[in-house]
Amino acid sequence: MSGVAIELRGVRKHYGFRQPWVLRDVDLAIERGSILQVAGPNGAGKSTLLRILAGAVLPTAGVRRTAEGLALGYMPERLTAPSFSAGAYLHHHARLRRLEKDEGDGEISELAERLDAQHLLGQRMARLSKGSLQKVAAIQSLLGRPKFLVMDEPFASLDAPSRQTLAAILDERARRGTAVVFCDHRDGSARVADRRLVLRDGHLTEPATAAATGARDADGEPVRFTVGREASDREIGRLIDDGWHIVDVRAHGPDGVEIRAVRRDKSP
Amino acid sequence: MSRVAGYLLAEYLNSRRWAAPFLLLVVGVVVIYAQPPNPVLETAGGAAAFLLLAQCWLALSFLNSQPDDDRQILAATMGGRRLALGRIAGLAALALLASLLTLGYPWIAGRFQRAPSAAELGWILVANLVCAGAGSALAALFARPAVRSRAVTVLAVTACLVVTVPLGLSPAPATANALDTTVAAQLPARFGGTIGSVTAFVLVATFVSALLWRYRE
Repeated sequence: MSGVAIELRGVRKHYGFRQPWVLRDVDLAIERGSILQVAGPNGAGKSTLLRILAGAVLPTAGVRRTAEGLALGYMPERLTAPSFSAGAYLHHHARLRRLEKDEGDGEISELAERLDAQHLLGQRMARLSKGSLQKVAAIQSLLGRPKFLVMDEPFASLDAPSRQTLAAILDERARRGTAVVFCDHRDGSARVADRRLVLRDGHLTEPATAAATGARDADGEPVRFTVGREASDREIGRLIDDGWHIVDVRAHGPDGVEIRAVRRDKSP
Repeated sequence: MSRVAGYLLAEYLNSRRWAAPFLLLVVGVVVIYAQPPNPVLETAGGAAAFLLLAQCWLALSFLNSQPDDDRQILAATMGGRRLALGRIAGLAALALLASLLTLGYPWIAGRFQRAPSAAELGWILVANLVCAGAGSALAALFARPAVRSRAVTVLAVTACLVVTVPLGLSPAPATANALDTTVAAQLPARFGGTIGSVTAFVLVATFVSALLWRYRE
Protein backbone atom coordinates (compact mmCIF):
# COMPACT_ATOMS: atom_id res chain seq x y z
CA MET A 1 0.00 0.00 0.00
CA SER A 2 3.05 2.33 -0.11
CA GLY A 3 1.93 4.57 -3.00
CA VAL A 4 -1.58 3.21 -3.10
CA ALA A 5 -4.29 5.24 -1.41
CA ILE A 6 -7.04 2.70 -1.79
CA GLU A 7 -7.39 -0.78 -3.19
CA LEU A 8 -10.32 -3.02 -4.11
CA ARG A 9 -9.80 -6.76 -4.54
CA GLY A 10 -12.47 -9.06 -5.96
CA VAL A 11 -15.26 -6.67 -5.05
CA ARG A 12 -18.78 -7.78 -5.87
CA LYS A 13 -22.00 -6.04 -4.98
CA HIS A 14 -25.70 -6.73 -5.19
CA TYR A 15 -28.50 -4.99 -3.35
CA GLY A 16 -30.32 -7.85 -1.65
CA PHE A 17 -30.83 -11.50 -2.42
CA ARG A 18 -32.19 -12.39 -5.88
CA GLN A 19 -31.01 -9.02 -7.14
CA PRO A 20 -28.56 -8.90 -10.06
CA TRP A 21 -24.89 -8.25 -9.44
CA VAL A 22 -24.11 -4.57 -9.89
CA LEU A 23 -20.35 -5.12 -9.62
CA ARG A 24 -18.49 -8.34 -10.41
CA ASP A 25 -14.93 -9.09 -9.31
CA VAL A 26 -13.68 -5.53 -9.45
CA ASP A 27 -9.94 -5.13 -8.83
CA LEU A 28 -8.67 -1.59 -8.58
CA ALA A 29 -5.74 0.22 -7.01
CA ILE A 30 -5.66 4.00 -6.89
CA GLU A 31 -2.32 5.72 -6.47
CA ARG A 32 -1.77 8.84 -4.41
CA GLY A 33 -1.73 11.93 -6.61
CA SER A 34 -3.65 10.27 -9.44
CA ILE A 35 -6.95 11.30 -10.98
CA LEU A 36 -9.09 8.43 -12.18
CA GLN A 37 -12.22 8.79 -14.24
CA VAL A 38 -14.73 5.96 -14.22
CA ALA A 39 -16.90 5.99 -17.30
CA GLY A 40 -19.71 3.74 -18.42
CA PRO A 41 -23.30 3.70 -19.56
CA ASN A 42 -26.25 4.52 -17.30
CA GLY A 43 -26.87 1.80 -14.74
CA ALA A 44 -23.40 0.32 -15.19
CA GLY A 45 -22.73 0.56 -11.45
CA LYS A 46 -20.52 3.66 -11.38
CA SER A 47 -22.24 5.23 -8.37
CA THR A 48 -22.15 1.92 -6.50
CA LEU A 49 -18.43 1.57 -7.22
CA LEU A 50 -17.81 5.11 -5.98
CA ARG A 51 -19.87 4.53 -2.83
CA ILE A 52 -17.83 1.41 -2.09
CA LEU A 53 -14.59 3.29 -2.72
CA ALA A 54 -15.82 6.00 -0.35
CA GLY A 55 -16.73 3.45 2.31
CA ALA A 56 -20.32 4.67 2.32
CA VAL A 57 -21.51 1.21 1.24
CA LEU A 58 -20.00 -2.17 2.04
CA PRO A 59 -19.26 -4.62 -0.77
CA THR A 60 -21.20 -7.91 -0.75
CA ALA A 61 -17.91 -9.75 -1.31
CA GLY A 62 -14.29 -8.77 -1.72
CA VAL A 63 -11.95 -6.47 0.14
CA ARG A 64 -11.54 -2.70 0.36
CA ARG A 65 -8.21 -1.57 1.78
CA THR A 66 -7.20 2.02 2.48
CA ALA A 67 -3.90 3.59 3.47
CA GLU A 68 -3.75 4.17 7.22
CA GLY A 69 -5.32 7.41 8.43
CA LEU A 70 -6.66 8.26 4.99
CA ALA A 71 -9.00 11.27 5.29
CA LEU A 72 -11.76 11.00 2.76
CA GLY A 73 -14.10 13.40 0.97
CA TYR A 74 -17.22 12.18 -0.78
CA MET A 75 -19.56 14.02 -3.09
CA PRO A 76 -22.74 12.12 -4.01
CA GLU A 77 -24.38 12.41 -7.40
CA ARG A 78 -27.40 14.21 -5.97
CA LEU A 79 -27.42 15.99 -2.65
CA THR A 80 -30.89 16.04 -1.10
CA ALA A 81 -30.97 19.40 0.61
CA PRO A 82 -30.56 19.01 4.39
CA SER A 83 -32.54 21.47 6.54
CA PHE A 84 -29.75 24.03 6.82
CA SER A 85 -28.56 27.11 5.02
CA ALA A 86 -25.64 26.28 2.75
CA GLY A 87 -23.27 28.15 5.09
CA ALA A 88 -24.50 26.34 8.21
CA TYR A 89 -24.28 22.99 6.42
CA LEU A 90 -20.69 23.62 5.40
CA HIS A 91 -19.75 24.85 8.88
CA HIS A 92 -21.24 21.69 10.39
CA HIS A 93 -19.12 19.61 8.01
CA ALA A 94 -16.03 21.65 8.84
CA ARG A 95 -16.64 20.85 12.53
CA LEU A 96 -17.19 17.17 11.72
CA ARG A 97 -13.74 17.17 10.10
CA ARG A 98 -12.25 18.73 13.25
CA LEU A 99 -11.35 22.01 11.57
CA GLU A 100 -10.86 24.96 13.91
CA LYS A 101 -13.45 27.69 13.37
CA ASP A 102 -11.03 30.09 11.64
CA GLU A 103 -9.61 27.28 9.54
CA GLY A 104 -13.09 26.09 8.52
CA ASP A 105 -14.26 29.63 7.75
CA GLY A 106 -11.15 30.21 5.65
CA GLU A 107 -11.55 27.03 3.61
CA ILE A 108 -15.26 27.61 3.04
CA SER A 109 -14.67 31.21 1.94
CA GLU A 110 -11.82 30.27 -0.37
CA LEU A 111 -13.69 27.42 -2.05
CA ALA A 112 -16.95 29.38 -2.26
CA GLU A 113 -15.12 32.29 -3.85
CA ARG A 114 -13.39 30.11 -6.41
CA LEU A 115 -16.63 28.32 -7.34
CA ASP A 116 -18.62 31.59 -7.31
CA ALA A 117 -20.80 30.34 -4.47
CA GLN A 118 -20.42 33.05 -1.81
CA HIS A 119 -23.94 34.32 -2.46
CA LEU A 120 -25.32 30.82 -1.77
CA LEU A 121 -23.97 30.55 1.77
CA GLY A 122 -26.84 32.47 3.39
CA GLN A 123 -29.57 30.67 1.48
CA ARG A 124 -31.53 27.66 2.65
CA MET A 125 -30.37 24.57 0.77
CA ALA A 126 -33.95 23.54 -0.04
CA ARG A 127 -34.21 26.66 -2.22
CA LEU A 128 -30.99 26.14 -4.16
CA SER A 129 -30.95 25.09 -7.81
CA LYS A 130 -29.43 21.76 -8.84
CA GLY A 131 -26.21 23.42 -9.96
CA SER A 132 -25.93 25.46 -6.76
CA LEU A 133 -26.47 22.34 -4.63
CA GLN A 134 -23.75 20.69 -6.71
CA LYS A 135 -21.35 23.50 -5.78
CA VAL A 136 -22.19 23.16 -2.08
CA ALA A 137 -21.71 19.39 -2.30
CA ALA A 138 -18.35 19.89 -4.02
CA ILE A 139 -17.19 22.35 -1.34
CA GLN A 140 -18.33 19.92 1.38
CA SER A 141 -16.25 17.12 -0.12
CA LEU A 142 -13.14 19.30 -0.41
CA LEU A 143 -13.22 20.56 3.20
CA GLY A 144 -10.35 19.49 5.40
CA ARG A 145 -8.15 18.76 2.37
CA PRO A 146 -8.90 15.02 2.29
CA LYS A 147 -6.26 12.69 0.87
CA PHE A 148 -8.82 10.69 -1.09
CA LEU A 149 -11.63 12.36 -3.00
CA VAL A 150 -14.58 10.44 -4.42
CA MET A 151 -16.89 12.52 -6.59
CA ASP A 152 -19.98 11.20 -8.36
CA GLU A 153 -20.73 13.22 -11.50
CA PRO A 154 -19.10 16.36 -10.07
CA PHE A 155 -19.33 18.36 -13.30
CA ALA A 156 -22.86 17.31 -14.28
CA SER A 157 -24.86 20.42 -13.37
CA LEU A 158 -22.12 23.02 -13.17
CA ASP A 159 -21.79 25.96 -15.53
CA ALA A 160 -18.69 26.07 -17.77
CA PRO A 161 -16.57 28.41 -15.56
CA SER A 162 -17.33 26.34 -12.45
CA ARG A 163 -16.44 23.14 -14.31
CA GLN A 164 -13.09 24.61 -15.22
CA THR A 165 -12.50 25.85 -11.68
CA LEU A 166 -13.41 22.49 -10.15
CA ALA A 167 -11.14 20.71 -12.64
CA ALA A 168 -8.32 23.08 -11.66
CA ILE A 169 -8.96 22.42 -7.95
CA LEU A 170 -8.85 18.65 -8.51
CA ASP A 171 -5.62 19.02 -10.46
CA GLU A 172 -4.07 21.11 -7.63
CA ARG A 173 -5.18 18.59 -5.02
CA ALA A 174 -3.75 15.70 -7.05
CA ARG A 175 -0.42 17.52 -7.35
CA ARG A 176 -0.34 17.66 -3.54
CA GLY A 177 -0.82 13.90 -3.33
CA THR A 178 -4.59 13.56 -3.14
CA ALA A 179 -6.02 10.56 -4.98
CA VAL A 180 -9.12 11.58 -6.91
CA VAL A 181 -11.78 9.32 -8.40
CA PHE A 182 -14.76 10.68 -10.25
CA CYS A 183 -17.28 9.48 -12.76
CA ASP A 184 -18.61 11.55 -15.58
CA HIS A 185 -20.22 10.97 -18.96
CA ARG A 186 -18.73 14.10 -20.49
CA ASP A 187 -15.86 13.42 -22.93
CA GLY A 188 -14.15 16.70 -22.04
CA SER A 189 -13.71 15.65 -18.43
CA ALA A 190 -11.24 12.96 -19.57
CA ARG A 191 -8.73 15.80 -19.86
CA VAL A 192 -8.88 16.22 -16.07
CA ALA A 193 -8.13 12.56 -15.50
CA ASP A 194 -4.78 10.89 -16.00
CA ARG A 195 -6.40 7.47 -16.12
CA ARG A 196 -9.75 6.35 -17.40
CA LEU A 197 -11.56 3.07 -16.79
CA VAL A 198 -14.84 1.86 -18.18
CA LEU A 199 -17.45 0.06 -16.10
CA ARG A 200 -19.70 -2.16 -18.17
CA ASP A 201 -21.98 -4.93 -16.95
CA GLY A 202 -20.31 -4.75 -13.56
CA HIS A 203 -16.80 -5.29 -14.91
CA LEU A 204 -14.12 -2.62 -14.80
CA THR A 205 -11.97 -2.55 -17.93
CA GLU A 206 -9.44 -0.35 -19.68
CA PRO A 207 -11.09 1.72 -22.38
CA ALA A 208 -10.41 0.58 -25.94
CA THR A 209 -9.18 3.92 -27.15
CA ALA A 210 -5.69 4.61 -28.44
CA ALA A 211 -5.64 8.02 -26.81
CA ALA A 212 -6.08 6.59 -23.35
CA THR A 213 -3.65 3.70 -23.59
CA GLY A 214 -1.20 4.63 -26.36
CA ALA A 215 1.72 4.96 -23.97
CA ARG A 216 1.59 1.31 -23.07
CA ASP A 217 2.99 0.02 -26.38
CA ALA A 218 6.37 1.66 -25.97
CA ASP A 219 8.18 -1.70 -26.08
CA GLY A 220 6.33 -2.82 -29.20
CA GLU A 221 4.47 -5.58 -27.36
CA PRO A 222 0.80 -5.98 -28.26
CA VAL A 223 -1.60 -4.11 -26.00
CA ARG A 224 -4.69 -5.92 -24.73
CA PHE A 225 -8.01 -4.12 -24.83
CA THR A 226 -11.02 -5.71 -23.16
CA VAL A 227 -14.39 -4.48 -24.33
CA GLY A 228 -18.00 -5.63 -24.22
CA ARG A 229 -18.99 -8.01 -27.01
CA GLU A 230 -21.66 -5.66 -28.35
CA ALA A 231 -19.17 -2.81 -28.69
CA SER A 232 -16.27 -4.82 -30.12
CA ASP A 233 -16.83 -3.94 -33.81
CA ARG A 234 -17.02 -0.26 -33.03
CA GLU A 235 -13.90 -0.37 -30.84
CA ILE A 236 -11.91 -2.33 -33.44
CA GLY A 237 -12.86 0.30 -36.03
CA ARG A 238 -11.82 3.06 -33.67
CA LEU A 239 -8.47 1.39 -32.96
CA ILE A 240 -7.73 1.01 -36.69
CA ASP A 241 -8.67 4.66 -37.25
CA ASP A 242 -6.33 5.62 -34.40
CA GLY A 243 -3.37 3.90 -36.10
CA TRP A 244 -3.42 0.46 -34.45
CA HIS A 245 -2.84 -2.88 -36.11
CA ILE A 246 -5.15 -5.61 -34.82
CA VAL A 247 -3.14 -8.73 -33.99
CA ASP A 248 -5.81 -10.95 -32.48
CA VAL A 249 -9.43 -10.89 -31.28
CA ARG A 250 -10.71 -13.51 -28.86
CA ALA A 251 -13.56 -14.08 -26.42
CA HIS A 252 -13.05 -12.77 -22.89
CA GLY A 253 -15.49 -14.08 -20.30
CA PRO A 254 -19.17 -14.53 -21.10
CA ASP A 255 -19.78 -11.02 -22.45
CA GLY A 256 -16.38 -9.64 -23.36
CA VAL A 257 -13.90 -9.58 -26.18
CA GLU A 258 -10.14 -9.18 -25.85
CA ILE A 259 -8.43 -7.30 -28.66
CA ARG A 260 -4.62 -7.45 -29.01
CA ALA A 261 -3.16 -4.64 -31.06
CA VAL A 262 0.10 -2.82 -31.73
CA ARG A 263 0.82 0.60 -33.16
CA ARG A 264 1.14 0.40 -36.95
CA ASP A 265 4.67 1.86 -36.94
CA LYS A 266 5.77 -0.90 -34.50
CA SER A 267 3.94 -3.82 -36.07
CA PRO A 268 6.10 -6.40 -37.83
CA MET B 1 -19.52 10.42 18.12
CA SER B 2 -20.77 13.58 19.87
CA ARG B 3 -20.01 15.67 16.76
CA VAL B 4 -22.03 13.29 14.59
CA ALA B 5 -24.87 13.20 17.13
CA GLY B 6 -24.79 17.01 17.32
CA TYR B 7 -24.99 17.29 13.55
CA LEU B 8 -27.86 14.79 13.34
CA LEU B 9 -29.79 16.50 16.14
CA ALA B 10 -29.25 19.94 14.58
CA GLU B 11 -30.47 18.65 11.22
CA TYR B 12 -33.48 17.02 12.90
CA LEU B 13 -34.30 20.17 14.84
CA ASN B 14 -34.13 22.30 11.67
CA SER B 15 -36.22 19.81 9.69
CA ARG B 16 -39.15 20.25 12.14
CA ARG B 17 -40.05 16.59 11.63
CA TRP B 18 -40.09 16.32 15.40
CA ALA B 19 -43.19 18.53 15.55
CA ALA B 20 -45.90 15.87 15.08
CA PRO B 21 -44.52 13.19 17.46
CA PHE B 22 -43.53 15.87 19.97
CA LEU B 23 -47.06 17.32 19.91
CA LEU B 24 -48.49 13.83 20.39
CA LEU B 25 -46.26 13.41 23.43
CA VAL B 26 -47.17 16.80 24.90
CA VAL B 27 -50.91 16.45 24.27
CA GLY B 28 -50.92 12.89 25.57
CA VAL B 29 -49.14 13.78 28.82
CA VAL B 30 -51.36 16.82 29.35
CA VAL B 31 -54.51 14.70 28.82
CA ILE B 32 -53.28 11.92 31.14
CA TYR B 33 -52.73 14.43 33.94
CA ALA B 34 -55.90 16.44 33.16
CA GLN B 35 -58.16 14.46 35.51
CA PRO B 36 -57.34 14.64 39.21
CA PRO B 37 -56.56 13.16 41.64
CA ASN B 38 -53.50 11.76 39.76
CA PRO B 39 -51.91 9.44 42.34
CA VAL B 40 -48.16 9.90 41.93
CA LEU B 41 -46.85 6.49 40.86
CA GLU B 42 -50.04 5.15 39.30
CA THR B 43 -50.55 8.10 36.92
CA ALA B 44 -46.83 8.28 36.13
CA GLY B 45 -46.99 4.59 35.17
CA GLY B 46 -49.74 5.32 32.66
CA ALA B 47 -47.77 8.27 31.26
CA ALA B 48 -44.64 6.10 30.92
CA ALA B 49 -46.65 3.48 29.03
CA PHE B 50 -47.87 6.19 26.66
CA LEU B 51 -44.28 7.41 26.26
CA LEU B 52 -43.38 4.09 24.60
CA LEU B 53 -45.64 4.90 21.65
CA ALA B 54 -44.70 8.59 21.40
CA GLN B 55 -40.96 7.93 21.69
CA CYS B 56 -41.19 5.22 19.04
CA TRP B 57 -42.61 7.76 16.58
CA LEU B 58 -40.13 10.43 17.68
CA ALA B 59 -37.21 8.03 17.20
CA LEU B 60 -38.43 6.92 13.78
CA SER B 61 -38.80 10.50 12.62
CA PHE B 62 -35.27 11.23 13.89
CA LEU B 63 -33.67 8.23 12.20
CA ASN B 64 -35.59 8.59 8.94
CA SER B 65 -35.37 12.37 8.57
CA GLN B 66 -31.78 12.30 7.30
CA PRO B 67 -31.59 11.98 3.50
CA ASP B 68 -29.82 8.84 2.24
CA ASP B 69 -27.07 10.76 0.45
CA ASP B 70 -26.35 12.89 3.52
CA ARG B 71 -26.11 9.72 5.60
CA GLN B 72 -23.69 8.24 3.06
CA ILE B 73 -21.53 11.37 3.19
CA LEU B 74 -21.27 10.94 6.97
CA ALA B 75 -20.54 7.22 6.61
CA ALA B 76 -17.76 8.01 4.13
CA THR B 77 -16.16 10.91 5.97
CA MET B 78 -16.69 9.84 9.59
CA GLY B 79 -16.82 6.06 9.20
CA GLY B 80 -19.78 3.71 9.49
CA ARG B 81 -19.10 2.89 13.15
CA ARG B 82 -19.01 6.54 14.22
CA LEU B 83 -22.17 7.24 12.26
CA ALA B 84 -23.98 4.35 13.98
CA LEU B 85 -22.75 5.49 17.40
CA GLY B 86 -23.78 9.06 16.58
CA ARG B 87 -27.28 7.93 15.63
CA ILE B 88 -27.55 5.89 18.82
CA ALA B 89 -26.28 8.82 20.91
CA GLY B 90 -28.83 11.10 19.22
CA LEU B 91 -31.58 8.59 20.01
CA ALA B 92 -30.45 8.40 23.62
CA ALA B 93 -30.53 12.19 23.92
CA LEU B 94 -34.07 12.28 22.53
CA ALA B 95 -35.18 9.49 24.86
CA LEU B 96 -33.74 11.35 27.87
CA LEU B 97 -35.39 14.61 26.78
CA ALA B 98 -38.79 12.93 26.31
CA SER B 99 -38.44 11.15 29.68
CA LEU B 100 -37.59 14.38 31.48
CA LEU B 101 -40.48 16.18 29.81
CA THR B 102 -42.94 13.43 30.78
CA LEU B 103 -41.72 13.68 34.37
CA GLY B 104 -41.23 17.45 34.43
CA TYR B 105 -44.65 18.60 33.27
CA PRO B 106 -46.77 17.13 36.11
CA TRP B 107 -44.10 17.88 38.71
CA ILE B 108 -43.55 21.51 37.75
CA ALA B 109 -47.21 22.16 36.90
CA GLY B 110 -48.28 20.62 40.23
CA ARG B 111 -50.53 18.00 38.60
CA PHE B 112 -49.67 15.21 41.06
CA GLN B 113 -52.08 14.47 43.91
CA ARG B 114 -49.27 15.33 46.34
CA ALA B 115 -45.64 16.37 46.13
CA PRO B 116 -43.64 13.28 45.08
CA SER B 117 -40.68 12.15 47.15
CA ALA B 118 -37.18 12.04 45.70
CA ALA B 119 -37.39 8.24 45.52
CA GLU B 120 -40.69 8.44 43.64
CA LEU B 121 -39.26 10.99 41.20
CA GLY B 122 -36.29 8.72 40.63
CA TRP B 123 -38.51 5.70 39.94
CA ILE B 124 -40.73 7.69 37.59
CA LEU B 125 -37.67 8.80 35.63
CA VAL B 126 -36.49 5.17 35.46
CA ALA B 127 -39.93 4.06 34.26
CA ASN B 128 -39.94 6.78 31.61
CA LEU B 129 -36.43 5.81 30.48
CA VAL B 130 -37.39 2.13 30.30
CA CYS B 131 -40.36 2.86 28.03
CA ALA B 132 -38.53 5.50 25.98
CA GLY B 133 -35.59 3.13 25.57
CA ALA B 134 -37.85 0.31 24.41
CA GLY B 135 -39.62 2.63 21.94
CA SER B 136 -36.30 3.91 20.59
CA ALA B 137 -34.84 0.41 20.23
CA LEU B 138 -37.92 -0.84 18.40
CA ALA B 139 -37.76 2.14 16.03
CA ALA B 140 -34.04 1.59 15.42
CA LEU B 141 -34.70 -1.96 14.22
CA PHE B 142 -37.07 -0.75 11.51
CA ALA B 143 -35.47 2.57 10.56
CA ARG B 144 -33.63 3.40 7.34
CA PRO B 145 -31.45 1.94 5.96
CA ALA B 146 -32.37 -1.33 7.73
CA VAL B 147 -35.88 -1.03 6.27
CA ARG B 148 -36.16 1.26 3.25
CA SER B 149 -39.92 1.36 2.80
CA ARG B 150 -41.76 3.73 5.15
CA ALA B 151 -44.95 1.68 4.72
CA VAL B 152 -43.17 -1.50 5.84
CA THR B 153 -41.65 0.39 8.77
CA VAL B 154 -45.01 1.72 9.96
CA LEU B 155 -46.71 -1.66 9.58
CA ALA B 156 -43.91 -3.55 11.31
CA VAL B 157 -43.62 -1.14 14.25
CA THR B 158 -47.40 -1.00 14.71
CA ALA B 159 -47.62 -4.80 14.58
CA CYS B 160 -44.87 -5.09 17.21
CA LEU B 161 -46.53 -2.53 19.48
CA VAL B 162 -49.93 -4.21 19.21
CA VAL B 163 -48.99 -7.91 19.18
CA THR B 164 -46.63 -7.69 22.15
CA VAL B 165 -49.43 -6.47 24.44
CA PRO B 166 -51.64 -9.64 24.48
CA LEU B 167 -48.47 -11.76 24.44
CA GLY B 168 -47.36 -10.08 27.66
CA LEU B 169 -44.09 -8.93 26.08
CA SER B 170 -44.78 -5.19 25.97
CA PRO B 171 -43.03 -3.08 28.61
CA ALA B 172 -45.88 -0.54 28.50
CA PRO B 173 -48.52 -2.48 30.49
CA ALA B 174 -45.76 -4.07 32.60
CA THR B 175 -44.53 -0.60 33.60
CA ALA B 176 -48.05 0.68 34.28
CA ASN B 177 -48.80 -2.39 36.44
CA ALA B 178 -45.50 -2.15 38.30
CA LEU B 179 -46.09 1.48 39.22
CA ASP B 180 -49.69 0.82 40.30
CA THR B 181 -48.72 1.09 43.95
CA THR B 182 -48.45 3.75 46.62
CA VAL B 183 -45.31 2.32 48.18
CA ALA B 184 -42.08 3.23 46.36
CA ALA B 185 -40.15 0.69 48.43
CA GLN B 186 -41.99 -2.13 46.63
CA LEU B 187 -40.80 -0.98 43.22
CA PRO B 188 -37.46 -2.85 43.06
CA ALA B 189 -39.34 -6.13 43.38
CA ARG B 190 -42.29 -5.13 41.20
CA PHE B 191 -40.30 -3.39 38.45
CA GLY B 192 -36.86 -5.06 38.50
CA GLY B 193 -37.76 -7.79 36.02
CA THR B 194 -39.11 -5.31 33.48
CA ILE B 195 -36.04 -3.10 33.82
CA GLY B 196 -33.76 -6.08 33.25
CA SER B 197 -35.61 -7.43 30.24
CA VAL B 198 -35.98 -4.02 28.60
CA THR B 199 -32.28 -3.28 29.18
CA ALA B 200 -31.38 -6.58 27.50
CA PHE B 201 -33.75 -5.82 24.60
CA VAL B 202 -32.33 -2.32 24.16
CA LEU B 203 -28.75 -3.61 24.12
CA VAL B 204 -29.48 -6.41 21.64
CA ALA B 205 -31.70 -4.24 19.42
CA THR B 206 -29.11 -1.45 19.36
CA PHE B 207 -26.35 -3.85 18.37
CA VAL B 208 -28.48 -5.52 15.69
CA SER B 209 -29.68 -2.14 14.38
CA ALA B 210 -26.12 -0.84 14.07
CA LEU B 211 -25.17 -3.94 12.08
CA LEU B 212 -28.25 -3.67 9.89
CA TRP B 213 -27.63 0.03 9.22
CA ARG B 214 -24.13 -0.77 8.02
CA TYR B 215 -24.87 -3.87 5.97
CA ARG B 216 -28.15 -2.70 4.45
CA GLU B 217 -26.75 0.67 3.31
